[in-house]
Amino acid sequence: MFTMNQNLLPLRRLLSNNLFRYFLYFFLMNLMMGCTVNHLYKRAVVLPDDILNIPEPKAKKINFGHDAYNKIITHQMDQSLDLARQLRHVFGKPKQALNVDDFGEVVDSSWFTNRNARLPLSLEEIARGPDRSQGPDPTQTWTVTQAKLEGVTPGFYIKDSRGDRYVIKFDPMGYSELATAAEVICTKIFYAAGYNVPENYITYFHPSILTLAKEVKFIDDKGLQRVMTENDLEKLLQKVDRLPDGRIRALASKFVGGKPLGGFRYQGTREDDPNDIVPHEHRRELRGLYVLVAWLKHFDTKAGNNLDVYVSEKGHSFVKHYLIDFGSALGSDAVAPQSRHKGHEFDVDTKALFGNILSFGLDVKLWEKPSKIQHPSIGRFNAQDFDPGDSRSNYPNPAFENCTNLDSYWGAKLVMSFTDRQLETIIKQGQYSDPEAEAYLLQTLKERRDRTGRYWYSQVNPLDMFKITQNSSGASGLSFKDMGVEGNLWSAEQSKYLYDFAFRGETILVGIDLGNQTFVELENLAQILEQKMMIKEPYSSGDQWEITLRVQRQGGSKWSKWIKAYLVRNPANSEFALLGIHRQN
Amino acid sequence: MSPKNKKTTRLLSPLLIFLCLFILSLQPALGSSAQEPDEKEEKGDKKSSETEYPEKLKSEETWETLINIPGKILFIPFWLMDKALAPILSWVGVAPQVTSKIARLLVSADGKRGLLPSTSDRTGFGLKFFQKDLITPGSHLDLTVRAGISWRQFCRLRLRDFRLGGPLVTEFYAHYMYLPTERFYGIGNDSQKENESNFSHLQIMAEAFLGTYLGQSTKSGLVFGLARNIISEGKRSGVISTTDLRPDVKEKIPGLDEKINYLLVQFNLVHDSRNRLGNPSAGWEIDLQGGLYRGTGNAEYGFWKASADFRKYQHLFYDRVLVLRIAAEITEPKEDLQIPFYYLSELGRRETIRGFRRGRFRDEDLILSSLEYRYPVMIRDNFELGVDALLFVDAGQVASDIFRQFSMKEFHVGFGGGLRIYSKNGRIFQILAGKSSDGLRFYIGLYD
Repeated sequence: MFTMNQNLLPLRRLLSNNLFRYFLYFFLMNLMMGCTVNHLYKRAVVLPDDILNIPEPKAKKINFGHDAYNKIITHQMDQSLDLARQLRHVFGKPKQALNVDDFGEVVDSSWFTNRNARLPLSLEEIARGPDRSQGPDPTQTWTVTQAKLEGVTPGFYIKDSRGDRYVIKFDPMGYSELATAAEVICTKIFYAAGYNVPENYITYFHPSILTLAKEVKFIDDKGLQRVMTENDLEKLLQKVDRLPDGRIRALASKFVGGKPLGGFRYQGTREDDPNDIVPHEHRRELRGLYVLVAWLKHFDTKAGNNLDVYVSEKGHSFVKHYLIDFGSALGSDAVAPQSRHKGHEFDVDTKALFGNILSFGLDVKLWEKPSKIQHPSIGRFNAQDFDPGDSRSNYPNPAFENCTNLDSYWGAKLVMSFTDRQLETIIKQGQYSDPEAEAYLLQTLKERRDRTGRYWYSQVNPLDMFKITQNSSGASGLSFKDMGVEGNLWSAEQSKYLYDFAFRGETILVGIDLGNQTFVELENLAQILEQKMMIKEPYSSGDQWEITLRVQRQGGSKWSKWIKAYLVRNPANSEFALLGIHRQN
Repeated sequence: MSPKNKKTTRLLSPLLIFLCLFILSLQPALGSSAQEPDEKEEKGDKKSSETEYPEKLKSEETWETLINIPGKILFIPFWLMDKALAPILSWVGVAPQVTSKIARLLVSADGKRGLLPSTSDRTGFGLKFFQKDLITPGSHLDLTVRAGISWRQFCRLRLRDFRLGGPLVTEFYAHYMYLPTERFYGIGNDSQKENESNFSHLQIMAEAFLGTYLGQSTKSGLVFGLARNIISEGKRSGVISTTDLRPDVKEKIPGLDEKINYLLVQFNLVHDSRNRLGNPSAGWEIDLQGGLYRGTGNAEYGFWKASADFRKYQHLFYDRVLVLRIAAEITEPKEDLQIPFYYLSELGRRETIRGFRRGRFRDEDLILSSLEYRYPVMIRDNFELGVDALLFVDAGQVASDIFRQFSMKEFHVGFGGGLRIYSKNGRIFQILAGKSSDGLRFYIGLYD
């Protein structure tokens, strides 16, 4: 006789409830729908230019204290309660960036301009970066117009003899070249990568060229705001190292042309900027920035450490978005060498705290081990404890938290676009006095770059730059590049490619071995198609060809994730056209 | 189906069907990674004229918005808290001169003078004022005032390391303490938790130390002190007052319900060779004391007390530290005089066995050992702060004659863990949880 298991009674009751059954059906249907794969490629949406004329927005200041609290506490709770996000995480379908084209790239915009990764810059261009002048003239008078009230580093604002305005910042005492070199080097790198950055110059000046303007506001040691005196200026400069000839090394950051509007957040859009239509946490150039800042150990990427500027360019007035303040990068923390935890844990990292408590101290992280700072002008910066996939800024960044493998791959391409010679040229702009420090930084940046490439190129399929070309015998084909091979991370001999071919959603060929050739002959496929489908003219302009490619490296047993290239053939002239690619996340 | 179930189904079924159809019609993109061109093309295709701007893209798709409704409801309190804190944090940010003034009031720019919060699980919450380098370099003055529940009060003044010249040093200590709910469980290692009673203890004490430095880490000298102790009725409700116990029990508790003044003469030797104050990883802390307490104006009370406390910090690896402690205390009545119960050796507080209440075990002699493992859980070099977690085991015994009655089987054991926050100047805050046969107890200390 059947007896009911007492433990199953509550479940049985639940299942007998119609309400619950409807929810279950609904959920399962959606799940099934979600599981079906759509073979047809849909073209990406072309977003409009974001440099339309707009009225001048209001300047807004981001309060760091509130932003930190919001990101550490409020935003984390919001994400934890975001069921859609959790479901995406469980099903491995994270939300992809909203502003990418058919090839996973971003178009030039007020945020980003494709530079070195698209077309390598010359060494002269790399060295110049965003600079369009020589910096402030240290042989003429500088007028101090304002003391620097924000940030942790001492400094002031000046107007030089040409009328150009600069922010002057210094290195911490005892660590000459630390922050100024980091700032200039990172400026060149971010510029070459494609971001908008200010002009930053290393300058050497004698204090005697400084004069105080009238009514310069200043906050003294007692916290009182008053007018700055010559005595105050002298006291400020006493906290700064001097060269043997009495000059001071400083960073001169030129005011960006246009009207500053304050910083931008890494979430949402700017309400009074009609051009800003893509939520920042879903912009590829902001998500992918995670990879660059990890490479450079630039942990201070909080909202407000950037700048929106209302500019007039190309006949339009619009908001342009800049990254600024790179003094906390490489091994520098602006006022001292970086603390050991920088880049590895948030400043307030509850997850890491609980993890560390539960580990009972048995898990000694590489970065935890006390390390001697080899070069005071570089600070704490090495490649040994660098984990490209587990880097942390000072507190959580919404764009970085939404960064998917595809965004990181895009960012890794920016990083890998820097050749050894380019890096060497950039580092020279830091004007280190110690050649050993320069050599150490170059070596470290190279190692970290390669680690970045190896890591992120292994998370996705790194085949890229698809084109319709012709081989030596004139046959049309789909050619591509292996970014891992291009970046010298793996050799061509170590790499093997395999492809599947589908037509109108139907699989025609599977597992065709290309060896280490980076060319798929399409004419061959056309012939196979004709034979298989017994059609002489099988193509309409809408019929999609789908070529799925995989990579295998020597010594590895697994094939990589796939990448699908979609093509169509013009029946009139039999020419192929590439629609786009779809890379597995 | 039950009537209630039928009613629910009738009400919600049409709504659910509509919801399902509506969402299905939107073809949620949970599995599909292709974008939805129709919706977005409509938005993106709007050719921009000078005044016609494109629609902003939403950060959530429709199905995401719907599915997140319960989460959004739960999020409301956090959102409200964020909005409430925003103006305060904004004010702090935009008024640096005001906040730095407040900070300057709390601690001077050179760190030599300051006013800090202070809390102790025994004496409550209050403030601590400190001044370094007062009169002579290296001297340290602090004044602490705390108050707590049941009107407990504590006020302490300390002047430490006041150099007189050469190796001679003097220190001064005074405190006023009123604790109206101190616990008493009986005298002896086998005192029972059920025998709890409470008493009020008012103590006013002043001590002066005169000594000399024997090297950089060790100082020794003599302490002269005067203390007044008033024991009276306990103020804890629901617990019998010790003064109300049966007369035959009370007569075995010397010093109860009395006001007694004591003179103290004591020899001290203190050695502190810790490599760091905040989170030591090497070195010793040794405290040896021995002296005579004599009741004044009353020949009934007088006793010798000697104690030895050894603490060794042993570095294991990468700032993981083992702290080993052994302590012993002996109290002997002088001739035919008595030892007041509150000066007996006691086990059961943060400084002895964590997990037992203060005064849980009292007797003339005490032996105590402790093993503590500390490991870093947060390292913040640039803030000169750190957080360590710790695990500990404490064990000890009281006895009337520890040399004869020592037995590890009689040891009371407490174990647990906690967190401590420290700076280079010492411990700032700690929170501990100790478990024993009596249950679980928590200890909190802030600048104590």
